Amino acid sequence: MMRVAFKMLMQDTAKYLGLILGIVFATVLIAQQAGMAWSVILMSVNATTSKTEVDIWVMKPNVEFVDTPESMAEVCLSRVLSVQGVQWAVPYYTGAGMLRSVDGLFKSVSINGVDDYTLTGAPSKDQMVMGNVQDLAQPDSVLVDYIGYRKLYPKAEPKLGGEFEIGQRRCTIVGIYKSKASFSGLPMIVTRRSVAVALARETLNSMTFILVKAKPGIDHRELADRISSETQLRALSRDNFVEMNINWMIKNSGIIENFGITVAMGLVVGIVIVGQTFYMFSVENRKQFAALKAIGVSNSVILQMLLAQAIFVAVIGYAIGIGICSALFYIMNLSPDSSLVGLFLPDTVALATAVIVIVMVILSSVVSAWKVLTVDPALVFRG
Amino acid sequence: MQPIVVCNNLCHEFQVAGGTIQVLKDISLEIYPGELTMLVGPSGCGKTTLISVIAGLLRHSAGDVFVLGKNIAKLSSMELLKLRREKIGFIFQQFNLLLGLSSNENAAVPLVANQQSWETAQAKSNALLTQLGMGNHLEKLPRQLSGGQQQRVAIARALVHDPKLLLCDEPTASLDSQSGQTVMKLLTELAVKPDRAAIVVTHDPRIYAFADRVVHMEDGRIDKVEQGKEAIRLQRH
Ligand SMILES: Nc1ncnc2c1ncn2[C@@H]1O[C@H](COP(=O)(O)OP(=O)(O)OP(=O)(O)O)[C@@H](O)[C@H]1O
Ligand SMILES: [Mg+2]
Repeated sequence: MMRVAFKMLMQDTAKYLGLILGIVFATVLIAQQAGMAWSVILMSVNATTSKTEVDIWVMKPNVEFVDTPESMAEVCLSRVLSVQGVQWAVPYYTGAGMLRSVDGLFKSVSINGVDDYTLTGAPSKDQMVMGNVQDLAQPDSVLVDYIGYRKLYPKAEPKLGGEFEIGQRRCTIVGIYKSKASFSGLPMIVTRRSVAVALARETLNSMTFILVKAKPGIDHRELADRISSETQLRALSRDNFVEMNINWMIKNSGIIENFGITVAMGLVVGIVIVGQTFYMFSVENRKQFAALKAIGVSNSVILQMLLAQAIFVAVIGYAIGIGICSALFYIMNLSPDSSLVGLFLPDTVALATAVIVIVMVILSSVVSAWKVLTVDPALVFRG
Repeated sequence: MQPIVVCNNLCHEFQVAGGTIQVLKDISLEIYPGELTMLVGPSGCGKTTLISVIAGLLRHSAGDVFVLGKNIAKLSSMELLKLRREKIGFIFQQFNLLLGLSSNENAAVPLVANQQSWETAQAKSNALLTQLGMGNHLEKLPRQLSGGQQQRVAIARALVHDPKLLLCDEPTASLDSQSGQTVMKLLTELAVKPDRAAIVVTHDPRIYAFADRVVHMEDGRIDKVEQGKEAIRLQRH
């Protein structure tokens, strides 16, 4: 009878297409907006998650978010190093500065200073598009992230050796690396910490994080707790640090609220269009379903038919919608100096949208199925 | 010979605002296989109500109704569904075909509902439609067919699963007299078989001649019964 159900569904092409269009619309709206929201939130932790060699992040106790850190005294490093279970600990600096290009244009950049001796926290070999991380050993040399480079030099092909000033100090590009977009969207400059501090025109004591590796076999959370209690600093395992940043974003950025409104709108519009079309289907096809009941088709089979119809249109609508949505994200990332670069459709969002859309369509169809299930088969004899 | 349908003192009343109306009053009737019985009478006399009760689409108020030996008052709604699905064929005034299905698919629906494979069902409905002169319209949708053609598809749908009882409510009322005659001719040729009973509700005197028996109803009661094709024909001429 499922075949019969599909034929009945497609008998009214206009409504069938309307139904799918409604689902496509809802899918695009929900997935696109939720995708933007979630990928912006994820951007805030990209730099953290990409440093896979770091097990524990240590910071001042009142730091709430990775982009608003505070400087720690140099002595903190030795205190962390003395905690049992620490394999190594290195300083890390994050800050901001003003970049002045050769032709005199100013741009804000984010400055990342890695440990002078080990270069821990610098991009990995795999991330390098051009140049070599080791070249940071040269005086006043820096790495620039690829997206940032395109923003700084929109017209030029990426090349090494370019020069600019940050904080009135001249520096040279020795490497370009690929990284996921950052929340601030600023070009990222990576250099040794001693250089970074100078570029940012900071004075002494410029260390905003301490990156820690645990000894093999040591539980990261336990070690983080131990560091916290022994040093009066805040130490968090990488996962907990990521979680803290995401929570901060959710609470303080207003992203969830802003995008949530559109997502909710997509849901409501979807429910209205889909629900109404299903309802019209049900009302208009009442007599046909009454005939099926008179012929001896049971309500449970009819319900299965309606559900099959619903799932069918939901899957088609979702597939088209998610396709359009992926295309939109692709287009957003085409232009390197657009502020939309780095936005993407996270798998979790695509999956959640699928669940939401399918539940939405099934619910709408079940509600209007009532009209069909309660139809009196004796209706077939009445004009 | 066992009757297919037996009604003993059947009564039915509808609840309406301000009380009840008695629609079937003490109906006793037997319908035998091999016969086409016409149920005739003025509008509102209860013809449709009577066949709805016989079909198990309506639960009657009093009296006994046996269909194929079963007391339908004792059947659960699932058993009634099964009875209709397997043993009863329907033809309606409004055809009530499924608009998204071709002739061939429409006529196959009862078989599909009875768990037959789509292909088997199609083959059987194909053969029957061809017998009904619809061989050139198998793939057409209902909206591409005339009323008479749609009713022929409906006849195929009513007969495709070889039911023991055929119930038709005003099968010619929506058709012009020419198509009406054709439809009734095909119906009598194909529907009336030794092991099957057919009941045709009508108030179209032009088709009385196709009946083996005419049951006249008046205000919820059976008024008189005319037996035999010849008797009916003689009375008319
Ligand atoms: N569901 C219902 N509720 C209340 N009254 C009903 C209902 N169905 C039918 N009736 C009434 O029962 C009476 C008999 O109706 P029925 O449809 O059986 O007549 P009929 O002989 O088929 O008439 P027609 O030739 O016009 O089709 C009518 O008075 C009708 O108004
Ligand atoms: Mg009637």
